[in-house]
Amino acid sequence: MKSRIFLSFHKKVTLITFIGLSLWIAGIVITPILANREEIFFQKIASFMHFFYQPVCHQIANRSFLIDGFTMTVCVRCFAFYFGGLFITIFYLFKDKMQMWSISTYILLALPALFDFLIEKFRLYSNITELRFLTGLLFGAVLFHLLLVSLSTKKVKPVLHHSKTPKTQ
Amino acid sequence: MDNQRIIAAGFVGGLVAAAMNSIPILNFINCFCCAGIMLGGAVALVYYDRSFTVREYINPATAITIGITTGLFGAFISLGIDYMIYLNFGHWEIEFMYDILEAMEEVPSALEEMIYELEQELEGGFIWGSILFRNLLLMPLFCLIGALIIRVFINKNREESI
Repeated sequence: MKSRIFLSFHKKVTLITFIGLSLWIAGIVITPILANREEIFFQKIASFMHFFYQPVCHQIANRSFLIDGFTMTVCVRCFAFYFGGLFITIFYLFKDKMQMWSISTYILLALPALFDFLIEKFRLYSNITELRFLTGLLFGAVLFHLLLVSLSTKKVKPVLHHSKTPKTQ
Repeated sequence: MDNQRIIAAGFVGGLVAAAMNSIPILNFINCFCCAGIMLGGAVALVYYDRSFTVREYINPATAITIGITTGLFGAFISLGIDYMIYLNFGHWEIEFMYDILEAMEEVPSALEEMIYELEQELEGGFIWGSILFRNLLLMPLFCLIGALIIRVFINKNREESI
């Protein structure tokens, strides 16, 4: 007899998000490793990966983590966003219930990253890597928690939509 | 789901996402977790929601459809904006890549050759294919995230008003 593993809907959603996010982070981490290889083929792949991730991050070298002297495809803050997201998905893989937090909790966790980003843009201070990583981690957790809540809640009330422009008879 | 409204919302959101992705100063907002592209998805869902007089809960499926539609529209519009910028200002992204390479601690000599090759490919029009490929993968993904996140707040608002 075949044995089946039953997963609740929210766990399936969390698992899919976890796999997607893991692949995304793997792409970020593996690029500098490929860039360090001597073969041109791997260096070309690394170059393409930098090109691929370019719209999602400024990719400034002195604001990114280094592996073997080569930069990751995203900066420290962006890496922290995704890493925070990975933490929260792992956490919810082992939890049975998924609930929305209060709005104030979301704001409290998201604001440090926003302030850090804005203050840096106004050049009041610059390049504190640990702070970027920490605030990014919290923001990533908020973002991916919201994403998981959104994907997990299927609540729909069967009410008919009415168009703004009523039909003329 | 109302296909006509979804397409209209997708187009409006796509315009926002494309502008945020391609216009040089505006696209700095994407340094903050791709917020600009996600904003496109969020705008599309709000636009879709506002097009009804009697509003109700939005399904995840509706949010996903709107997010992906927005991303697809955005990918093509963004390519168009990129092309217009290229016609007026040339390959400013290549200069940007040079700056990144200069800031790297260790640059392999092969990279110099690769940049040269890339320039050749740019002349041949290859890069437009690459940009479109990249846009078609990234923009639906981030617009989808934006639409799904804003869905939580729209539905929460609705719950409170009922």
